[in-house]
Amino acid sequence: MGAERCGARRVAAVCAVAWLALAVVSAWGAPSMEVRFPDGRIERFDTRLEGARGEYLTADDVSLLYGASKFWRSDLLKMTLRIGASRVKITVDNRNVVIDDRVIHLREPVLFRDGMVRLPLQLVVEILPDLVTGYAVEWDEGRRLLSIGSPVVVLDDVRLNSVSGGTEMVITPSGKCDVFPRDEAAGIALRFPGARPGRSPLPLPAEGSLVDSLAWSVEGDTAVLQVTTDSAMTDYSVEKEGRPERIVVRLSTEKLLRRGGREKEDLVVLTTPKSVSPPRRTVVIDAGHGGDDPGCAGEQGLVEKDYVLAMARLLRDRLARDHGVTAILTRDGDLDLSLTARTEIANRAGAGLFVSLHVNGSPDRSLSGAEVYVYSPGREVKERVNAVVEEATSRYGSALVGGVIDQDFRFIPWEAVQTSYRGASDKVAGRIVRALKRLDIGVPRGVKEGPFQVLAGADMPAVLVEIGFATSPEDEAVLLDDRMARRIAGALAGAIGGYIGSGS
Amino acid sequence: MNRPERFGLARFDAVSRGRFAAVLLAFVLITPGCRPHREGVGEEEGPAVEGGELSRSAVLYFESDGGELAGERREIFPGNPSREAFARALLAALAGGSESSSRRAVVPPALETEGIFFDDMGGLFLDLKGASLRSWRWGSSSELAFVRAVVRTMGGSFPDVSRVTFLIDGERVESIAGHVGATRPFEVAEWR
Repeated sequence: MGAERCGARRVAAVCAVAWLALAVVSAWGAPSMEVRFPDGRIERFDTRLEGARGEYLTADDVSLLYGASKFWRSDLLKMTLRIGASRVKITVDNRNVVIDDRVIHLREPVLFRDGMVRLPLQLVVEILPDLVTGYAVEWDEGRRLLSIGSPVVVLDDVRLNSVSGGTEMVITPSGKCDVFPRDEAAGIALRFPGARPGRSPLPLPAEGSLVDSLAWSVEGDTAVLQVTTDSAMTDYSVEKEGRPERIVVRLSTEKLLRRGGREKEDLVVLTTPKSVSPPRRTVVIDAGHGGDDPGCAGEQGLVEKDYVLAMARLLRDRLARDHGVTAILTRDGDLDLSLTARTEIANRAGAGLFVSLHVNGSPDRSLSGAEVYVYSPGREVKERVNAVVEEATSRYGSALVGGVIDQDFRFIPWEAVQTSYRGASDKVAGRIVRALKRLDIGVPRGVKEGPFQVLAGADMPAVLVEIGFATSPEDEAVLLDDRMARRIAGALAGAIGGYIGSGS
Repeated sequence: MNRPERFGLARFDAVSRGRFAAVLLAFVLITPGCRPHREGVGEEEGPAVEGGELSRSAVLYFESDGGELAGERREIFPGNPSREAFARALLAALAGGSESSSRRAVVPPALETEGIFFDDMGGLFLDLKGASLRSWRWGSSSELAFVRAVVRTMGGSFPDVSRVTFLIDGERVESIAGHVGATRPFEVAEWR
């Protein structure tokens, strides 16, 4: 009897330990998956569903991941999901899913729990990704990672045409796409960042073509078309056409006269960064907004366009009086002036600095303090700058810069001219932030960057100063104080005069 | 009392156990969960029907304390299934504000659209009514927040949209409120 009891205890203990171990293991390895979004952000999704055998995601999650519309009939417990051009019809407690005119039988049924439709993971990661159009979705079973890719440009249509004096290759991408040609020993490598080769076979060159062979390769997220050329080819050109997007590569037995697009699009400016030269002693002060555009307004009567005009005039006087610096105003009255016209004035004046004055606004009344912005171009402009520099270097090498490769000269597209002054702009911005900080206008917000149109075309260091927030009652009261306005003008003049005087 | 007796299995002889095992095996084999995955006409309930309540899940962006943008998962009811209707409903939801008192809308509450267009190359065009933008508290900060919130929300809700272009009263503009350049589309990947 005692032995039996002892045995039963042992069995109970083993069972308890096993149950505990199972609970720990199941809690430790609670089923989940990760989703990588196009910006690289990774989020974890819990796929566990209490009482269910398989793993599930909610229909709401699926709607978010695949941009699916949901039609929910709560009376029938049926839902239709629209993904791309497809309709996915599901019924709660049912394993059958109808996708357009196909019926697919799932291992687990669709469930309805806690007020939400739950879709089996099998449907979510194995079946639905095929319905998504316009971007890539990939499921990595080993890592349990669903990657939702950026929109992918597919290069599926490549044609070779015989034209007078050579061969023309026309590539039609599925979307907007850049191309960077690189000369290679056997021909040309055309690089397409962010694109991937299509599934259609590449064309075979015809008799007499200047193209000997074509082959795709992939380097990271860049598709590369290797074009082996005939020895008779003397020159080639690569042109992008829009609407529809086409890339036309012309291979010729003669020297090509390049037409339009290339030189026009990659307008190259030879410029000397002024950050390494003493700044010129003329400053252009831009009073933001004006005319029909009042800018921001405060509750105590501050109107941005009027305030910054008054400040610009005060600043002009202080610069002349205290620092011997000539200041030109972009507007000296209540005028409508486009943003590009403002930098044009500065460029024509050959100014050493451009300062655009503004008063900030926010739906959050607690935001306060001065901030200064410098120009940061969008990614597209950055890529174009890099592309032009790369192409100029690969095409012309040291001959292009005539033996003066000492960073005195740079080749950049005009629209990104401001980027060559970034260092100097940062220095001016820092001086202004420090000067305004001493005046105790709200909480200083420091130097920031953004694609500000009024700074984009300035061929000189340029900053946009937000003196304070009109929407902050405290800031507005400070800004409206005449004595404070003079102190602000003095602080700005000190920072600007200091920069001009210091030579950097 | 031994265990078989307690569970009423005392009379289970070897033959009965064999029969029971066979029945159990047959039951397991016909259980739907064990059937192989296959395609074909289903024998269970018919397909769901079109109609019912239309909704989509989305992440909307609002400004939190300190000026940072914070995402808020919401269910959007666009009224009709078109992409344009969903984009319009998203803008309305952004303008309508957050469900949390600690977040603020960065889209003017009176915002109206002239039109919304998608091209087939990842472009979304939001044509805004100029008059509906005027009374907002614009500054560099709020204009940047507006662009970021709208581009992030649209980019997240339409994964095939890679850039957003703002038009005002049908025309391209230098800037929405006099600061941020709007002549070019805003790349979703850059403003996320």
